[in-house]
Amino acid sequence: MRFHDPAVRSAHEHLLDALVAEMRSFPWAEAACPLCETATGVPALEKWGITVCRCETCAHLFVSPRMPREAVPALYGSRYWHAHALATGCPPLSERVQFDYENAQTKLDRDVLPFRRSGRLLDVGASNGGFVRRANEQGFTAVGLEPSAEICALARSAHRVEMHCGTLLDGLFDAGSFDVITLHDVLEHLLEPGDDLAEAERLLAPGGLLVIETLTSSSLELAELGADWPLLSPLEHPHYFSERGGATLIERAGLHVLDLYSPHENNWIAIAEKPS
Amino acid sequence: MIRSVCIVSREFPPDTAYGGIARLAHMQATALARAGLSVHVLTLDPTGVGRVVLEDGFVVHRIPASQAPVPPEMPYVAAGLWSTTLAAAYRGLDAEVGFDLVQAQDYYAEPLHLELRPETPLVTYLNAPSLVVSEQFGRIRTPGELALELLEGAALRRADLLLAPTELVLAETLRLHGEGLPEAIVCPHQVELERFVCSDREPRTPGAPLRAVFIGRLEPLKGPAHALRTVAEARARGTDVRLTLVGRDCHQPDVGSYRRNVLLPLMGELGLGFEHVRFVDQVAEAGVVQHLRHADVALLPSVFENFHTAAVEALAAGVPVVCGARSGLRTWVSPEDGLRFADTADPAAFAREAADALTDESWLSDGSRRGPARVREAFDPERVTARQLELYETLIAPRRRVVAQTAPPGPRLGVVVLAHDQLAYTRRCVRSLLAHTELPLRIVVVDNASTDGTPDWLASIGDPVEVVSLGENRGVSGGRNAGIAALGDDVDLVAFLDNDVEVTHDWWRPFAAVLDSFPEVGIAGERGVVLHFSPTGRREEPLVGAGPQRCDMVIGFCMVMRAEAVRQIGRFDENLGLFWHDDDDYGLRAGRLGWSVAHVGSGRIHHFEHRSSELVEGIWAGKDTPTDLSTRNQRYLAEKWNRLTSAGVEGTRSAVVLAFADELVDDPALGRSFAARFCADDDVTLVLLAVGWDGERIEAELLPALATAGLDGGNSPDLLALTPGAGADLTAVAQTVDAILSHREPAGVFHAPAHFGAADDCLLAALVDRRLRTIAARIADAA
Repeated sequence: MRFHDPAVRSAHEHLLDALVAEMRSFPWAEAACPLCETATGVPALEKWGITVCRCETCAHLFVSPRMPREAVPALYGSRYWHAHALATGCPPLSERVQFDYENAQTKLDRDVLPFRRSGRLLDVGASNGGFVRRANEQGFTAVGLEPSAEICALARSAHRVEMHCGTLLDGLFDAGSFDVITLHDVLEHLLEPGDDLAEAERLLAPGGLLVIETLTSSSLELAELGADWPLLSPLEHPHYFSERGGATLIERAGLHVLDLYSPHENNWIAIAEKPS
Repeated sequence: MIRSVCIVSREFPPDTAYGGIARLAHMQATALARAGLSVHVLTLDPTGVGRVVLEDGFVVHRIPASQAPVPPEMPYVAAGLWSTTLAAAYRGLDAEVGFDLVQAQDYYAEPLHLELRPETPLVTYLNAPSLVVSEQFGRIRTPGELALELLEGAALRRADLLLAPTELVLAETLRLHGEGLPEAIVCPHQVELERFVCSDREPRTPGAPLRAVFIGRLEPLKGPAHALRTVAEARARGTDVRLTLVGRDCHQPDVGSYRRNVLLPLMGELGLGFEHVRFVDQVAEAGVVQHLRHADVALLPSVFENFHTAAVEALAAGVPVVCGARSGLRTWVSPEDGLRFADTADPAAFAREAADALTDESWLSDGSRRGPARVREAFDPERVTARQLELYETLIAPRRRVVAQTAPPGPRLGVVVLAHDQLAYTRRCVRSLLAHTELPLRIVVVDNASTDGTPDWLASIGDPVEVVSLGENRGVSGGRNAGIAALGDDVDLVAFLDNDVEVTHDWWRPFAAVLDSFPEVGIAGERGVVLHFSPTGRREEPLVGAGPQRCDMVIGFCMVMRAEAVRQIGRFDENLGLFWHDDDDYGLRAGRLGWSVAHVGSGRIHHFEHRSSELVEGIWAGKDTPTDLSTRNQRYLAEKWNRLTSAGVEGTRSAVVLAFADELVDDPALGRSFAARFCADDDVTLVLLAVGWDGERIEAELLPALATAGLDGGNSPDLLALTPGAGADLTAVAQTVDAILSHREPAGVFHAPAHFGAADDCLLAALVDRRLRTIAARIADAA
């Protein structure tokens, strides 16, 4: 299964126009660097008429101006998983149900099982629920969280898993409800990721594990390709964290970084623990 | 000249690890193949299945290892099992190829059990024998590991020559493995560095941090902790350094993840954060190049390296290197060329010395400029291979002279190789012919309008290879006909080979032996087939195993023929178009002329099958599914051969000449030919098939025709007319013929029934002579 396929992308790129226009109907506003909080950015890259700024203080890359939080449910409907996926060269969600389920084992083996082998697990941004099902099969009591009701329904039907509709900031769970929280390809989508990680920390039981995999702004491919970097997708990704930025965010949330590395050039993974 | 080399190496990419011995063995194989040698690699198949893979220029034989359980404390048993497995595979391959030389690695005692012929020398590369490595690291070994080191020493002593890529490993091996080692010479590895040359390097922005890169596994021996300390030291001196560590995290006994449990805590101790250090897991080669393109210096503080490939690659990319003091590269690259050495024994001392280098702007800039030229010169594959072959020649030349003196003279052989694209295969085929044919040889390569560089390559070879370039793809028949024309008359044997064939040691001998021993055999092929024709079509019954065995035709990829037979049979039938059943036709036509066709099954011919035909539209409809062209050609041949093959008399092996009543009537010259050649004294029966004829028609048409031909007198050969009905079971007819003739001694050996047109008179004469001679010989034998 190919992701970010240039042929698929060029054949469907026009689909983005309507989506960008619709999101533009919400009031976009200037944003500040989430790491330096008060610092603003200078325009560094532009794609689809959206500006990606670099923080003058810490070099963090973030979209500004950007859509408001209330626009998020409108973005992550089925059109996101179909038209937006195709426009970025990716297969639509319906075609990747089996792939995501199979690929989840690699993620579990790599990110979770070396640290925890059982317990309550929350997969944030669970999409079609493949990871949640794998985690259940491996001995966890796993549930998924996904902002779109439609996608939640798909996950329930595809994998018979427990799904909750919403985001971390919706306060759907009690403090200390989970032993493991995973955010695979989620952090870059969050408008105020510091708030989400603070909530994740609240939901973790003492000694609980937080797993984050996200794009890295340290990527040499980004350095070489700039706005042509296929992973630069500013409608859905308001943030591109470096490893340092990620570590800062995690530690600010009160968690301790156990490991932080790039599994390949374009991503980093952090494994963090809530102090006992 | 040395022509064939077997490289034995348990590690060989891509199935084994990226790095070390695997990559060096691959470079050696590539370089030797490019130098024109026939190269075979014997290596492990980790999947346990076993397979043969053709790379660009050489063949990789992946062999499964023994599945016997071996206790981990007995590594020497595993090594011994592998070595015997390797020896068995080598024995079989050497019987086919007849290697001029075997090249092994020092690792794992691999060549311990190889059965080498007296004329085949063994050269072993000293990469890093386990004993040497253990001593460098001061490792405490288990008894099993010590035993393995002894085995490796024994394997080294079997070599005729040791090649050491660096002085360091040579000195250490001689020191530690002691007496009894063979001659040892320093000769560098050949390293293909083009992929690492970074003409588009990202220059360092003035005032920006210095970009350092570490490439290697995250484990103590590679020194990633030393690299971190160097960064901290340089930063303490006011130089802003960013370090990227590219390499797989390695779990250590009692420690676990080296990154998580050693390096990250060390970062904390040194005051380094993720703004200073980035970890990138193992990346492919292109990723390594990318990181080198963005680096100003490489920190590669391995405790010990013999031939430090990562450092060579960094230097090639224009990245100066600080490495451990015990690096064999010292033999080839000096600090002025961008390679500085620092003792790793004391991590803090290393960090200080390495930080000196990082802050030495002129060294960084000179090294970046001079390093690429130095390593490209020192490890230039062409130059190093020439040196290597020079050394090998000194080993094999005396043995070759002995072989040359004892080799008997052989027939003059002309080979027609049919090529259409697939240069890699054509190259292998021609090289293997040149390497393994100790005969007066002419090779005609017929290029059926290749567009892939084949013409250029062919033009570069020269004697004894002649090239016939066709402006269009004239298919198999057209191509072979062009080859026949080019060969002319001055050969005794003609071999037709496809370009996806590789021949091995003395490949021609089994074919020549069959032709020599059986005068009636005109065509000897590697794989023979018995054909069955029926009203529903054609069916093949392939013959297997070693021959010779009689058959109807041999598959066209390898056919060796008497030149005399080729002259008689004539041209391949170009009506068949690009492909399909040209070999059926030729075999059956040979049989018609009284030539026997033999399956040889020598096992000395590798056939990769259909490599060119797969590229041509109109031949294959799918995997193993021919297009309609095959059906069309079968119909065409059925029509052409109708009277000979659809009669169902195949397999009749008797002194019978079969003719068809209607043909005899239509063509009086045919009957006269029979009458002129056969008489009553000949042990020959002329069987006339009058399918669907009745008595009245025989009387009205056949008998007058026989009379006209002179076949009705008392001196005419025995005549037998069979008149099966139009719908008769022709197999039963054949059985009737057999039954009628069975009271005779088998006087003839003719396989295919013969039938002649008037134009074939001269061929008939040859045929009759041949048949009568054969009959006479058989009768004499019987008497």
